Amino acid sequence: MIRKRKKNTLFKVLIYLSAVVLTLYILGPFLWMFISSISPEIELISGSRKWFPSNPTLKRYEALINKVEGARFRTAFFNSLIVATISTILTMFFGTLAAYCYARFKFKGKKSMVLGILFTQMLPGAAIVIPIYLFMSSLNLLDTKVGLILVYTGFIMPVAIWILKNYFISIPQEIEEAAIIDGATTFQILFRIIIPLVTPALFATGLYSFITTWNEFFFALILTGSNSKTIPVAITEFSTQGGVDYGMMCTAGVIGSIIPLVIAIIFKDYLVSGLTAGWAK
Amino acid sequence: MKNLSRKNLITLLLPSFLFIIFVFAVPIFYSIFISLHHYNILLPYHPFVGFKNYIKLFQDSVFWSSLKITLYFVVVAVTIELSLAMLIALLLNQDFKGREFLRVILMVPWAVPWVVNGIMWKWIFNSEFGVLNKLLLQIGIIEKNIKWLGKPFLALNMMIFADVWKETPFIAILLLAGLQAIPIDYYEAAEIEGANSWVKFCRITLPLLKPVTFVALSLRTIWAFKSFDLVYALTQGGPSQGTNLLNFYIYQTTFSHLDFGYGATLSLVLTIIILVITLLFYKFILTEEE
Repeated sequence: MIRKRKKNTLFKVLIYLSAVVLTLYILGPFLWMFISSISPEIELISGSRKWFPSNPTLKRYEALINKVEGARFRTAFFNSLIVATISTILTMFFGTLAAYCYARFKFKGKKSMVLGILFTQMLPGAAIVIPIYLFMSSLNLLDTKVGLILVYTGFIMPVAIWILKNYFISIPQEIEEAAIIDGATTFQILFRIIIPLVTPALFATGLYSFITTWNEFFFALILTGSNSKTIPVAITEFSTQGGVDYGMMCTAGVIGSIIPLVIAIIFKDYLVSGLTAGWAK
Repeated sequence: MKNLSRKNLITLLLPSFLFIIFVFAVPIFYSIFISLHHYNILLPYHPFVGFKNYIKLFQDSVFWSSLKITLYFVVVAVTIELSLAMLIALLLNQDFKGREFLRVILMVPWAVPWVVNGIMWKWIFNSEFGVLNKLLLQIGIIEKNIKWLGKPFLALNMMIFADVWKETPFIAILLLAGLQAIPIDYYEAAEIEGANSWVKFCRITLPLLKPVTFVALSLRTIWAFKSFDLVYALTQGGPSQGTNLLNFYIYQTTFSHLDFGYGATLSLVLTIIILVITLLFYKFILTEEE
């Protein structure tokens, strides 16, 4: 195999130059938010020409992490952890069962169900949030974690089913056929044979669901209050209540991004395969 | 494909089905019901008003200007995002040192919550202490601070700028996966025929990338129509309604003015707009394939 590629120097320089520009473009804004979060107030608003504070401080992080003024922020952080974790587990469990059905069996109404799944992705949150708000209010589930978990589980279910279904289809059916001949039931096949085979896929889909629910804002804004507020809602409160405290806003932004960022960077390959399995097919 | 016993089928499908029914299906029908009523949450009665809310929509100038702004936002943002993502994907498909690092940091904007994206740019665009003015002053491009979010049209474009940062990487990831799936033999065959890079790009890369590009385009268009978090965190729809995207206008109507009936009407109209555009996309791609 001979690949004749005349990669002249100019081409190489161009590539590295674009790579540097791209790196700055992607990391610059987030780094600036981080730098601002560790800049003392006086340097933040002095209009100084420096790019890094002369006296960096972790005061704001301390305030949010273990001072009284950060109590509500911490509650929001734990609310987010609980809500995102439980909705992800529920979605993965029930979603796997459904996705297996869609991938393997023929049944009446299957086609319209698949269309229905796609249709849910077109609905703007606003079109469903008013009735959900009214239901929640009549069931006394407004501003509760349980209410939010139920809504989120339904909310990400279609996407999870969609991604998982594409994974299940890629598994050769011969494996199951052999098991059927041996007399295994559908559930035995699913839990003993299929699920162990698709563990990476389940993991990828789970991470995707977790990040999506962690970052979700629209439903959280409308359905939660002081008891069950999640982290995205808590972050916006630094900029909308009264005056804007830019330093605290940046600090809250950095803390609120840590979990999804760490997940995305460590498990990049899983997530990319999940995203492409879900959308690129 | 096998058939499954009814009992097993129900056990497998029912739980997830119920969630989807209660979170999507029932609410959308109930929204239609609400839209036919004068539904103010503070009032004890919600009288039936027929299509009055829909008629109101045609006379509502805020709705029309919001629709115009939304269309501008969607078309400009999605066009820039797709073009930029294509360039990034082509770059990351090249062989160079640091490529893996770039692929990893591409995940950063994707993972950052949408509201954090909003507050981050709000601080960067800040007219007094923001880093954008600082940077441009230092290079000498501008002479005095600019109020980036101070004028309606400028603010809308800055909002697009913020959206592009957050959304482009996702499309680039999809396109890159598409690029990597193209067999290298195709390019080798073309090289033997003496094709140059541009010809190879137009004749091999683009046509083979069409399906995934189309998916990315339709997904992004749908999502851009639904933009809310960014508006809320960055501009709250201002100044003078200049960044008041439809989804944000619906939120305000419903939860600030408490007009649930009209809010439901607006949200259904937005749903129909998204639906029609998605169907047009699919019709277009189907006729292309014939």
